Formats: sequence, structure tokens, C-alpha cells
Amino acid sequence: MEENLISKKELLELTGISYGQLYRWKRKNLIPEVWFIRKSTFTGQETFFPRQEMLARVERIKNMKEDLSLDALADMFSPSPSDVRLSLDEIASRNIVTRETLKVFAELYPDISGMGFIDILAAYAMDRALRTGEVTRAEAGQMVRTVEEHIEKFHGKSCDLLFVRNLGIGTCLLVDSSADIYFDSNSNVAVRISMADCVEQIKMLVP
Amino acid sequence: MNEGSGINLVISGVGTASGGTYQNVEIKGVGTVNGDIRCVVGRVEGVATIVGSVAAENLSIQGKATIRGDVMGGAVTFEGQVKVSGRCNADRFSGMGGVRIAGLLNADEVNLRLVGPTHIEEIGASVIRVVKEPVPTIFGRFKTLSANVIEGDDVYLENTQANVVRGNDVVLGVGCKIASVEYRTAFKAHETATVGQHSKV
Repeated sequence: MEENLISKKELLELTGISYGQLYRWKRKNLIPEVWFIRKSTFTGQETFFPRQEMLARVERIKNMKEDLSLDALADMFSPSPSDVRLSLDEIASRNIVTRETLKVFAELYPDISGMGFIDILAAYAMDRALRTGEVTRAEAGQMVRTVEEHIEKFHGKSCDLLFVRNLGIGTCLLVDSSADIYFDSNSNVAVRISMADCVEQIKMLVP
Repeated sequence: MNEGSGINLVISGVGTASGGTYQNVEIKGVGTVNGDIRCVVGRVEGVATIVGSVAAENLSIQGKATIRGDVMGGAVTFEGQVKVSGRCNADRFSGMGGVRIAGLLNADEVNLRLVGPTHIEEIGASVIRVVKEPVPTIFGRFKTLSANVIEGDDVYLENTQANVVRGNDVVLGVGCKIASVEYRTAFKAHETATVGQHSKV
């Protein structure tokens, strides 16, 4: 059995939730369909989940379900953008994106006044990428443009932002999170950012 | 869950309509809907074929409904026959008759009174109650539920054949044939029930 998976049985035991709760959360889209991984075992068909993501998600739901309705929670976990518009100043003062990163962002889009959700998402992803120390400002700018241009085409499906370097030449990709991708041996992935994760974080910071 | 559009769809007699967003959908007689339906209240009295998915806050079926897609509902109730080619999500799914669901039936509460042959690939719910309806019918010997996997907190089954039943509290009534039972708190089986193996987990 793979290390990074958790069986449904073990999940219920570890977290103390019931079958009914798990199915209800699945029904209300609090847990993405792709996390349910079917496997045949000697005791019949069983369901497995990505261990870390699933345990973190269940903990979050358990902590927050007192304060928020299931529908509001589903909205928070959904990778679709929400409806917001903030000024650059508000974003910096709420510590969503650092001022330094915002400066780089503003250089890319000199006449920007307010930021919509996609802009915030792009800036947030850039912030993360720059913090890894693996990409230059110019390369991070390339990532921002990729997000701005293409993320809507995923229609709320979760996707990952990658920066790949091949013998000193960098390129940026936006791919479906569940897609398999393979590169030639000269390439290495400098940064991989889960956009779904970014969306979730931003939705926590921007109610 | 759904916001109605204020427009109703009514088929009385024999008719065909296209899908869409409606307030109420009523099919009395024989009706075919080509496309997905979203509505607040859906009612079938007669025979309905939906070539698409159905999302309704309340869906009641008296007669026969064939849905060639998914069902997303608040409360789904039926008397008669229901066929779903996809999966079925509901808060409550209850009724009497025969059911075929090709995918997962995911509900808080599943309450089935078997009259006809029933096959549901997978059931996941909080409370699952499946009983054989006592009225004699010519289809008497087909009052069975067959399923691959049944998982619930509180499970009571009669006349059910399944590969795996998992639950907190599992009670098997008359005529059950279950290959494997996994329970967490309690397990009881009627003397006519055959169980391949059972284990406390």
C-alpha cells in the first residue's frame, strides 16, 4: 500500500467522523471527487484518499463547521473565484501579498487601480513563487501573465502552476492538478504551486 | 439549493419538452424531456424519461421515471420504478418499488421498501433502511436489493445481496446474503441471513 494514501477505514478511526458525515461532505462538495481513489483489496473494493490533504481538510471542516454552513464551507474550498475587488493598498495592509511582490505586479500592469480575484490570485501565486527563491522577478512575471491569461479556462477545476527550467531556459505551465506530466531529463521543475490551495488561502484572508 | 425561474413546465397527456431551469415541473401521463432539468419541485405521475440530469429540491415520482443522467435532490420520494444511469445525491431518498441506480446513491437517509427487483451499485448514507414490502405481488420473489458496496452509520437490511456492508451498527434481517460485513460497534444477523465473513474494525 502506498505511504501517502489513507484508507477510508483508517480515516474514520483517526478523525472520529462517521460514514454519514463523510458522504454528506462529499455530496456538498467539501471534498473533491478526485480525492476518492478506488482500489480493490482482498476485503473487497475500498476507497483511499491522499493522506495529508484529506486529514488537513477534515480537520478544517471539523473546526469550522460550527461557524459556517456546509454551503459556505463548500464555497470556500471550491477552486472557483469569488467576487471581490480590493485596492493594492488594502491587499498589502491585509498581508495577503507582500508590498515587494505587489510592486513587481504593478510594474507589469502599470495602470492597475483595483485588483479582482484573478489578479489577487496571480499576485499571491507570484508571491509564493518568489519566496521559494527559485525564480527571478522576470520569471515570476511570466507566471503572473500565464495565470491571468489562462486560469479561467479551467472553469473552477483545480490546476497547478509550474515553472520548468531546461538548461537555463525557463518556461511556465498551467496544468490540471490530476494530469500526469513528464519532462525530458534536462528539465527540472523549479516551482510547483497548487492554485486550488492558493484560492483556499485567499478566501480565508478575503471574506 | 436551486433558484426557480418562475416558469413552470407541465406535460399532461403525451408530450416532449426541452430541459432548462423551471420553478415546478409536472409530468402527468407520458413525458420525455430532452436535456437537463433544474427545478424547485419535480413531480411525475405516469411515465417520464429525462434524457439528462435532474436537480430538484423536491422530487416525487409515482409511476416510472428513467433518468439518463444524475439526480441531485433534497428529498426524493417514489412509488413505482426509478432508473438512474448516473449517480444520485439526495438528503433523503425514500420510497416503495424498484430502483436501478448505476452509480453511487449518496444520501443522509435511505429508506427503501422493496417491491420490485432493485440494483444500486453503491450506497453511502448515515441511516440506511431496506425492508421487503409485505404486500404479496406477482413479482414477490424479485423483492431483492443487490448492491456492490453499502456503507452507513446505522444499517438495517432485508433481502439484500451485497459484496461488502460496512457500518457502525449493522443489522441483517431476513434473506440477506452478504459476502463481507465490517462493523464498528454492533452486528446482528437474522438466522436466515448468510454472511461470508464478518469482522469488527
